Amino acid sequence: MTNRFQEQDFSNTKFKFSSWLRLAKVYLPIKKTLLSALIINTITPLSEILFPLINSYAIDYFLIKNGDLDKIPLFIGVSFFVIIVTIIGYLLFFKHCAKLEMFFAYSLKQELFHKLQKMSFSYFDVTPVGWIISRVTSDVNRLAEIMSWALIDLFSGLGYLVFATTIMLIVNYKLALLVLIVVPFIYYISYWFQIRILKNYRGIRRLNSIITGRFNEGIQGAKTTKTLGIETLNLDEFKGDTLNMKHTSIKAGLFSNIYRPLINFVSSFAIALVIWQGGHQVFQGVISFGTLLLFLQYANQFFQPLRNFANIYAEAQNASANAERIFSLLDEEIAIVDTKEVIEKYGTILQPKTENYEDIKGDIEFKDIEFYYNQKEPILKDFNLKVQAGQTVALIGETGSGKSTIVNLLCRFYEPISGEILIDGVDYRKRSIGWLHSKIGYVLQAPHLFSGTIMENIRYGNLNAEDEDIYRACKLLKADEFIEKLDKGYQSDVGEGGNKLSTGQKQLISFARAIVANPSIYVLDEATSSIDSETEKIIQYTIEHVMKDKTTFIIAHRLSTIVNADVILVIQNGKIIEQGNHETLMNLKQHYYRLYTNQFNEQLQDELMKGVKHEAFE
Amino acid sequence: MFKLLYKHMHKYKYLMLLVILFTVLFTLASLLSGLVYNFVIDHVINNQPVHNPIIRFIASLFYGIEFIQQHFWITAILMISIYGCVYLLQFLKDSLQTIVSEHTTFHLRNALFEHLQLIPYATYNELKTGDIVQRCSSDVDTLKRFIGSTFSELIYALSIPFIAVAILFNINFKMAFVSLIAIPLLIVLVVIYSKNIAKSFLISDEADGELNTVVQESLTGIRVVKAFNREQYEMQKFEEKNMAYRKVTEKLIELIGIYWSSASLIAFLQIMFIVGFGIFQVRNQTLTLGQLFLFVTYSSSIVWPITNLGRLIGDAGKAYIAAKRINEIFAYPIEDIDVGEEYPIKGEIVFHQVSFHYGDSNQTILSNIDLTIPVGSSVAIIGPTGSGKSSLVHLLCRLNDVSEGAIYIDGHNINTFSKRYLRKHIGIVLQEPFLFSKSIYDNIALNNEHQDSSYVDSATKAASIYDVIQQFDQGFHTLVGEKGVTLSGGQKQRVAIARTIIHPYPILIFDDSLSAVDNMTEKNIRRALKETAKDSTKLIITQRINTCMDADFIVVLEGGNISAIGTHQELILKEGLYKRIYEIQSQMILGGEQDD
Repeated sequence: MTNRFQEQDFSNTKFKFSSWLRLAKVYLPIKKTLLSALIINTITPLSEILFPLINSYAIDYFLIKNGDLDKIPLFIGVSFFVIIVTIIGYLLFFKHCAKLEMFFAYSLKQELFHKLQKMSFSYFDVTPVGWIISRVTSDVNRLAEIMSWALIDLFSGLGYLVFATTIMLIVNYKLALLVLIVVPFIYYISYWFQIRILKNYRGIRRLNSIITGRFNEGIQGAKTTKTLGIETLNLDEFKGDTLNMKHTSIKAGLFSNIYRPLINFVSSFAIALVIWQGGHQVFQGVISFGTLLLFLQYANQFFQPLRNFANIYAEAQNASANAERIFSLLDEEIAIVDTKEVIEKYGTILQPKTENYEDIKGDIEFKDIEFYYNQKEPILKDFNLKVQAGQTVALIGETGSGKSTIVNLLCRFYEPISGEILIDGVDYRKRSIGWLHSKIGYVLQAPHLFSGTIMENIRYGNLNAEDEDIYRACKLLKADEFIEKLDKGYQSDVGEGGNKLSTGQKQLISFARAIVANPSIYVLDEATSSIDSETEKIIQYTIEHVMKDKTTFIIAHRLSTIVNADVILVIQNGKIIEQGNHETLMNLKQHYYRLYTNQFNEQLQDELMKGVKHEAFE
Repeated sequence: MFKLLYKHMHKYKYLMLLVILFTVLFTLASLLSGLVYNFVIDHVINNQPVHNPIIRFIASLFYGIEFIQQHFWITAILMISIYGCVYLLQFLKDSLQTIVSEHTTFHLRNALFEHLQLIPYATYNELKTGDIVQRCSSDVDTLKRFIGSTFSELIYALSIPFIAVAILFNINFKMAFVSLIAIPLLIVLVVIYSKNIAKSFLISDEADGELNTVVQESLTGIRVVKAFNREQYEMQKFEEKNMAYRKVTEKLIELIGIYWSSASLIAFLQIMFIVGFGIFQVRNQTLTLGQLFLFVTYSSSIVWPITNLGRLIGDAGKAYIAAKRINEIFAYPIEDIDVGEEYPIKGEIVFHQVSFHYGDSNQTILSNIDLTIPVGSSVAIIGPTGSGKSSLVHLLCRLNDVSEGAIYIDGHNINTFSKRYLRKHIGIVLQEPFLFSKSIYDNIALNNEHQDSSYVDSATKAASIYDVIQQFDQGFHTLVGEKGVTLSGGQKQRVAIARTIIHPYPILIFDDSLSAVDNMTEKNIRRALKETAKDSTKLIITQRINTCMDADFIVVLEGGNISAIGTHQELILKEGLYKRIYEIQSQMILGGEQDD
């Protein structure tokens, strides 16, 4: 089985209106707020536009027409009023953007995380965690920005343009046309540059993540690097990436460095035209001086919303890929789901009805199971197995023989393609996933600890566990010895992913975590592979006592781990080829016998059997 | 901060002087454009007599004012050319900044990466990968932004008020005074901003960090989450952080909004005052219309850069903190791997009275180890978790250095060797090996001078991983890691073994590196090793008796001491750990056999 993650390529995604409409649905719960925000922000630019108008009028009235100076307080009053209204508009703008942006990001993240918690193992087996994290964090943040700031900017820019154009046309349509002539140029240049700037920017982000990955690898692989002595090789490769980054960034920078001055320069043509024509008309007395001032001020500000439009459009087009990726996650089919009837009775994983959960006795039956990850490579076929409550079942077999698959099926991380698995005589699909998982104690081969203390990590198995329960579990596993030697004992920090502890210690903690959960069924998947033989023997004792009445599945390479099992299954190519307890299988002198005796060097074996046997055991 | 940047700017620091020069010129030119308006309004449009000799001179370049009045398009040309200069300067300053900042970050990143690789082995356990990577990425970006824009914006924001004020005072003292009322108010505002908003930014960043950590941890540990049915718990944890981030950030944005709105309020009121006061001045003939317009434009040129100062100071503060965080990385001492001798290595190893403890800790890991390993022999090391097995072999590679005593290779104290040389002659396969995200082939041929695929083939065959690799879609060219194939623990270990045994190391160390491999495969690997590495001295840490049986002799470590040394036959006759382990691992088979 090859677990390959193939990301759909969204890099050429075009702007799709439907995608944005779907994103907008996030706002449904606060649709009234959204609507009022959009309306208010379309109107508020009006006051900003009136301000130059008032000033121009005042200058005309007081200075050109030599009006009555007693009217000054009136001018101040009106100005003041307009200013206050404008400022309130600004405040509302920020308030609305903050509210929308945060609501959008919050809701979409909730939705994604919710979905992720429901997703089954098969998804996480093939999807890199890093990929998922980028969806939940950076993609959402980016879209939230567009769906708030850009959206509101779009409306208020539209308001500004409409009102300003109207006023200019009313005041003097000839001068207004001179200003408007520049509009298409500005828009076109902006758009041309923005698309390229954003494309380059995307390239930079890709390089950035490569460099970040290199740093990550540089640190995580540092020990290996040292032992292999490949510092120079790594540095050379790294320098290749940073050099590439440098060239790409300078090139990308050039676009923005040209764009900003260029667009300003083009806008200055509007000013020049106004000065030329307007100034001339004032000189000839055709229009008033105030009108010229008014147009000069508008010509200065008029293009800002226009540049924003180009920017927003380019951003939105660029972010389409982010949106598609998020949708691909949200639309991902969940491989394992409960039926409607089951949900009705037992609730969902996130809203369980634990009061309806039945206890498990522990009878397990695999009935005519067929399973594959990939149709061409069948793993299990016609697999049958019956386990009685309280039995310990050991699975052995080579890598890829299907033993992990069997426990994955038992835990319902995967479901059989055909056949059924009965727990206490009932098909487990007739009860909920949550029910099963709350009854199974699964200890994984690669023990994952969360950052936090040892105490917190063990309590993860049972959030209601008393401190005493935790001490007891550790004592059973003799883990208390090493824990108490640590500076802060049970309150010691385990580090990121538990990396302050050795693999063996992590396995012990993860074992303790399962014990405090007090499950009805134990599954130990190579749970003691990194623990030394003596400690393991103690654990053996624990297994026998703690798990005496509980059905237990054990996968192990070390045969000493499994000799005491009630049933040993030798699995080969998805089939049980031998079944029985240790003695029966040894007497069979078949596969198990060979596997077992192989743990000893054949050359020494005869010698051993003859000589050592008696001395060692008498 | 400046020291750090200065160091990595190299020769580009001279370009930085040009950036400063262009920024000042840009500031001057943009203010000049205001004077052109003034000139056009007063002298061309309103036909007022020119007193200033400089203006008269400029006017004479265009055949005098009257000529301009007859050819009004000259005003347009005038405007466009002055704006042309302004924006050309802007382009030059921005481009130079980009070049300097990219160049500096290039060197900074390389220096960081190099430094991180040379930190001593023991120090890595103290590092938090996420934190370091963040410093190397986002903190470096913050510094890049500082050189790339913040720095010149600061110069602009600080220089424009002075120049503008100087010009305004020259024109009309009273009006200039009125135009400056806003400045103290704005400064008060900037101070308040810098204090409060910077704190809010920090709070919001932290909340964001916490949220991301929850996502990261929950997803990396998703198997545990699911196995323990903790989805609900994770969801609650997430929701809490998600909500906390939402709350603080919403507040932050509103705060920024209040700041900008207050600054705008001041700016608008300022203009209102200038217009109101200016009307009296113009009526009294102490000010011209053009000058009034100049006052209005200049006052916005002063107000906005000062308002911006709040953000700029914040950015500079962030850059300062970023530099400090980066300097903390550079402060980790590094090891010099090239200093020392390069004696030829055959492979005899002697531990003489070796003790080891970490730094200041008084917990002894190894004490008084005496051990001689002849050339070409194989030694198995066995002992409980935490008995010091790994530490022992790490000392040999000088991943850690002995606290007392000495280790000799072929009679030379290993401390006299260069570390690079020493490690190039000792092949060690770590317990949890790391594979790089390259193709499997590149992972194995990493350090292989010959790059010959036949070496890769035979190494992978010896490590019993050849067939597995061949089964992958792209065989040896399959990528390892997130973007490629996910290898199991045992497969990783075998690739790491292949990567090591591809070299003819005189000394080979296996640090429990076959723990995740099944017995059959393990035996095959041991067999292959006997042939391919028969002349090498081999140290094998293991938990398995059958591995021990294969070795020339066995060292039993307990609590940092050697409790027994001997061959398998010798040790199983002595009471002790080895015998007990042997019994645990073999009693059933013997019991089973006895019935026969």
